[in-house]
Amino acid sequence: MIFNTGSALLDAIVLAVVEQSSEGTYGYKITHDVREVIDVSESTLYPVLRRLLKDNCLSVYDQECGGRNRRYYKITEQGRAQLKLYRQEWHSYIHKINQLLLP
Amino acid sequence: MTKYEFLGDLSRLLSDLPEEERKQALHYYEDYFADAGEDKEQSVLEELGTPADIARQIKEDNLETISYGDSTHSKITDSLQPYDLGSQKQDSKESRDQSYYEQQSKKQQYSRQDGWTKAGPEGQDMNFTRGNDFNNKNSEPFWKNMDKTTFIIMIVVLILTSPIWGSVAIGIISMLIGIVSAILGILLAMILGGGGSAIGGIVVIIGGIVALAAGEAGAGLLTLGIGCFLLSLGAAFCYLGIFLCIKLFPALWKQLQRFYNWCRLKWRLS
Repeated sequence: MIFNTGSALLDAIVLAVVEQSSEGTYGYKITHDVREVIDVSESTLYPVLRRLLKDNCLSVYDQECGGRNRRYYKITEQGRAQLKLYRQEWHSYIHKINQLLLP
Repeated sequence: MTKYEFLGDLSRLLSDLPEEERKQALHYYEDYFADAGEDKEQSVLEELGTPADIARQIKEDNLETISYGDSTHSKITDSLQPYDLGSQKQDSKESRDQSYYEQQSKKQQYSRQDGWTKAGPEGQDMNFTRGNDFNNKNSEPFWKNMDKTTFIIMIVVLILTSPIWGSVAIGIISMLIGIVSAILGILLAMILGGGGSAIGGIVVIIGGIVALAAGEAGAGLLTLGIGCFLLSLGAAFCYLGIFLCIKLFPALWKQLQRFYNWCRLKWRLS
């Protein structure tokens, strides 16, 4: 994987992954899903999740699971709006680059 | 390393963060290990890296959000002014209070930069080693963050404990003076003693020659020999002493100057 992933792109990917589950999803699964798409270190995700949480793009809740409290992340309305913005930006970005790189 | 060692180290490393931050981070990683499963513990440990790296990332990120430094995001909040944030609060369990709105208004002051087209360091490393920009913030001399009361308290503590550090300081300074004096003494001894010995040697040589001229071959030769010996040894020490002096003093002078500059720098920062 040669193209570096800036933090904005990473945010978008994480938001998109979380958006896929309406009930929310948990850290390990999010990392796993993101890593199917891009090659990031497992430790990269926590700061991203934390930031998205702080920016109110994600919300958390805990659920009892196998004797412990598992933390789930859900996308918020603001998160959806942000994701929509990212998708629009991505579309125009990709379009311009495709015109250049793809014959 | 085991999972518990990892978590323990991480907990310690994050101890200077607010309690809530620390708990959240630990919760996340505890969850992570639990979800990965016991058999995956080692491979997770390998992938995660060291607790130190993770702690650093978290702290850098923490600093960044607090100082509103991340201007490379095109934040939805910049454009959607009339967006009703009130209704979103129900979702979030985190307390979104006054500080959040202050944070939002401060973000508007930053010029929007398109996160996609920005070339620079932003696109470099997805592992968030954000380079020197944040090193400065971290190692900003702690003088800056000190307010008046803390400063006063520090002064009082220093005065109260002065017997302790005072005597240590005196001890160290005396030792340094002693060492310097000893070195000077040795050098001086070399020069003077050597010089004297050399001069004495010359005198003895002359005496030897006189003795030879007077016909006392054996005594004369012996005296001559001793004279030569004294001369050579004396001259050698004298020369060595002078040589060392010449070498040491510029170096010493430079060190003193450097030390002086360093002191002034530290003093000015406070």
